[in-house]
Amino acid sequence: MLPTGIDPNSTEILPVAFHPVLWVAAAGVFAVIILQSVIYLRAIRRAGAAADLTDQQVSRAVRAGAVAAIGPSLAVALVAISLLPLFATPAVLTRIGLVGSAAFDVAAAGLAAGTQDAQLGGPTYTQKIFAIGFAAMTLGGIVWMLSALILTPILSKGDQTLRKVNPAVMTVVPAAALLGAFFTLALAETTKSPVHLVTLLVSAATMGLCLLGAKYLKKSWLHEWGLGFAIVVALAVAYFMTTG
Amino acid sequence: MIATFGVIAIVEPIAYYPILGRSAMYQAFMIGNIANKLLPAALIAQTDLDERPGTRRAELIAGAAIIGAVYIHLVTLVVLVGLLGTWLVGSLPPDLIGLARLYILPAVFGAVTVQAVVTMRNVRITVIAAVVAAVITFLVVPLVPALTNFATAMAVIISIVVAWVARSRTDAPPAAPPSAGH
Repeated sequence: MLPTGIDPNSTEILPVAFHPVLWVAAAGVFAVIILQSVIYLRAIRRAGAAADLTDQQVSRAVRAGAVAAIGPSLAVALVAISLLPLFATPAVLTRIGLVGSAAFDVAAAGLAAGTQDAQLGGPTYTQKIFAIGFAAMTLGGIVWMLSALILTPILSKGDQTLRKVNPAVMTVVPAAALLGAFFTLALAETTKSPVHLVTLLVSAATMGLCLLGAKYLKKSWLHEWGLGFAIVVALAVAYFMTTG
Repeated sequence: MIATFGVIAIVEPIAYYPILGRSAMYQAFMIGNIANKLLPAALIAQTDLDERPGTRRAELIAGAAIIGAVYIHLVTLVVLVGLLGTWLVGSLPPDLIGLARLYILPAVFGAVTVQAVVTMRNVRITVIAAVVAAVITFLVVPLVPALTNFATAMAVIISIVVAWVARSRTDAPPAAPPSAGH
């Protein structure tokens, strides 16, 4: 029978979101990535000999990569922490932190919740909706992996053909798809409540300022931190609007 | 639900293939955060070891740098998000958590939309997508509530069609745009 605390209609999502099975799965994802990196590193050392690359130089490249990744990793961590209340640790670690990305996974979960006439977060956010949202993220990830493995060789041939036929296809179609999707998701939020509208605008404005700052003040770290800052500032404004 | 997965299944790979290209697709699907974390790490390591992209040696250096970046990323996630973040969220008052849950979507989508607009650098498509999305959200959905679940799918398809028909025919093909997400 079902373990205690599992009730599809309960809005207390933590018993499901912190379910031991999810922790095991999250640990599995980490283990696979660590293993993959170990195997890659050994292969690189072996191949390096033939390509005039010493072991010391490989180690130096690993160190340089590690140092370069500190800032961006902290920026990703900030975004991930802000999503913890919504999806809890195992889902956030695997989907937002590693395999997926904040933008697409939140969009996928939100769309899936919408098909059940529910919203992420609100009073309709039950264990069932969490499960459906998480399944949508994961299925999106599976499709992503399958297309990476199966479609990439096909697309890369098609890519050359498409580019020959009409280079505009490759720029117009993805841009229109991405912008159409995010504008619709953003505008749908504005119809929920005035606080949602202001939160959206503050988030957009903060991001805009960060990107302008990155460009004109030549502070490229603002680029990486934009999403994290925008989420924190927008949530803070939402807090003051609802409590003040 | 099938409609949702269909939308994701179609939009995600098609939207990202031309942006990421072939080799990055293979890497991106497992590690994620390619554009903001792995590429800079690879470039810095190549500069550090005085190698220009395109050679076999540069490829190996990039691979090693990405491994270094991945280890830092894993440690950051476990320590800051897994341990510190979980503790923080667990110790915050429940109504604060509820508030974060309620308003996290507009807080994410506002920023991400601006990021997508800036990344794409295409005024014409931006205007088309914004108008299409506005018409669907503020006219079509209120008039035909049954279409609510298909709003995003419709906006994506209509944006593609309109952007294609109305595309600038004199534009030189721009360079591949950088990734906006994965």
